[in-house]
Amino acid sequence: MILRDSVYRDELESMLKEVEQRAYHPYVQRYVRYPDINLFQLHFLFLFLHQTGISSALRRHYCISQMLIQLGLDSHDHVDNQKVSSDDSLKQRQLTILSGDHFSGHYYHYLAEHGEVELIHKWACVVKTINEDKTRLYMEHDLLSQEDVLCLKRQIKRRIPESVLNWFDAPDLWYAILETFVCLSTHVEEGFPPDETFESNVERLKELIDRLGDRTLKGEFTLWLDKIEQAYLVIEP
Amino acid sequence: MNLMDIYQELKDDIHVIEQELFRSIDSHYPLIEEAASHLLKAGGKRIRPVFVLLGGKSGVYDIERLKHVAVALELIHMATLVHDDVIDDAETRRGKPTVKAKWDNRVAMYTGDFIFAQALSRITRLSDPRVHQILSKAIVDMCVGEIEQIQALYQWNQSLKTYFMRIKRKTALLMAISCQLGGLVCNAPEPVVRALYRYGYYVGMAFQITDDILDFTGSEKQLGKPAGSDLRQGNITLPVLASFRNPAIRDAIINEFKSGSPDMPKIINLIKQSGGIHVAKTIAQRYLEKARRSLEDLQSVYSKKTFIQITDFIEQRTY
Repeated sequence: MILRDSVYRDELESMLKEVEQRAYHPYVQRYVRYPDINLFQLHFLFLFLHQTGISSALRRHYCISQMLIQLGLDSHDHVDNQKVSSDDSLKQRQLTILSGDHFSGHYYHYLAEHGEVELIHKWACVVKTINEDKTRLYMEHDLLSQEDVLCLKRQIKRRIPESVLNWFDAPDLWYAILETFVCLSTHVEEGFPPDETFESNVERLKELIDRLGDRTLKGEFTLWLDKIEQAYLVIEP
Repeated sequence: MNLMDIYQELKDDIHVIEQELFRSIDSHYPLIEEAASHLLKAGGKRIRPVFVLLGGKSGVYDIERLKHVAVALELIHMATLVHDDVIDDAETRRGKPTVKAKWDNRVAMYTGDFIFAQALSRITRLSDPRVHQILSKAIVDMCVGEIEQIQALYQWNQSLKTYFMRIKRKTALLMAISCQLGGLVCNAPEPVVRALYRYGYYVGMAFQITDDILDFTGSEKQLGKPAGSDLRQGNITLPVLASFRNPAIRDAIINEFKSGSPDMPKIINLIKQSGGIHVAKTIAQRYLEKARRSLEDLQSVYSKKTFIQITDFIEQRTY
């Protein structure tokens, strides 16, 4: 896991552990593979919030709640329209739906326990918008151009971290890093071959990371840059 | 007398809540609004919002605060129904096609999540952290209850305690906190808020047990599904567990299922012969009695009277 090389490894791992302890249900895990946690999103938000100077407790509230929200959203993306062919696949679908609801309930419960009512409200607005975007993408997928589809996918991916940047009135550089990284990761996930746009985005990301100034921040983001570059690493015979 | 006659005095405030419910599902993407309003337009008993309002009568009644709780609880209930229809592969609800039937599973997922987000957006207009601690805990417990209901399917050896825990989470909790939060946001005295919770809990338990009885005693026309559907899907409810006190009946029912094609009319007859329905009715009545006794501490004559009428309605409910 890439976060093992982070200087903030202990703090990040303890947050991942808390999510697991709170929201992973042993019976569900027997039938359902939980979605992977978006580690870049966690790391990005952690680094951004760290440099804002907010307390570590508050930083943790943001990071843990966004993981629970994302897990809830991602779980429901796995519910398809196929007719179920066996009792096990029926159970798998039922538990996938319930696990998504369970994650969403836990985001609310976690923040309520910490008295973060305003943050619950802010996240609810983001989740509403994401579901509107997802419905549009799903319903209009075949009507939109490939570029529009990609654009909408990137927009959905950016919603959560971008919202945090908005709430803290972040400098443009952070938006640019996020946008470029999302472009690159979407490129890889869609299975597109490396092309000029990809190469120029890699260069742009390097340049943006350089502009961060802070050596620790540069080191942390470089971990992700390396991972992106390795996705297309070709070893010659 | 139907529930709407009972609610007559709350008519204006229920109208406010209906309007707020429609306002809450407003979306810039028309399809999601259409899917959400589809269920809303199908109506429903609105028992949770009514419980919130009646709870509020025990304190300093304030519709401006109560409406946030009432709308949020009804939205949470709706979001659950939209997802439950995918879980149960249900084609109709309240006589209309379900969201998943009219559109598909994926649209139902996004619509349910959208409605849930709107519920949280609405309830967070109240800043009292106690409201959120109570509601969020109940939501998590409800999800766990649903997960455990799947875990308990076809578990013939489950205890009565397991069943009661399950229906508490599945139904009674949301009714209990509806009453409780109504009192809480209107600053009702602490013992009264506790009494309101107990009332909602007992009524909710009786409501679900009655539902479970009707699964065997109702007709297909009344239920909107064949009698015995819950048991056919492996959901072992109180009338079944009570019938298991007779080992011969227990074995006969389990053997029917082991055969791979259970004869449901035969199983329903066995349950009726066993006295399982009678036992379940007696337990439901005990819960209703406890609900009535919980009302003794309430000072509002109107809410006490209305709560009693609702209790009587649930007692006489035939479908």
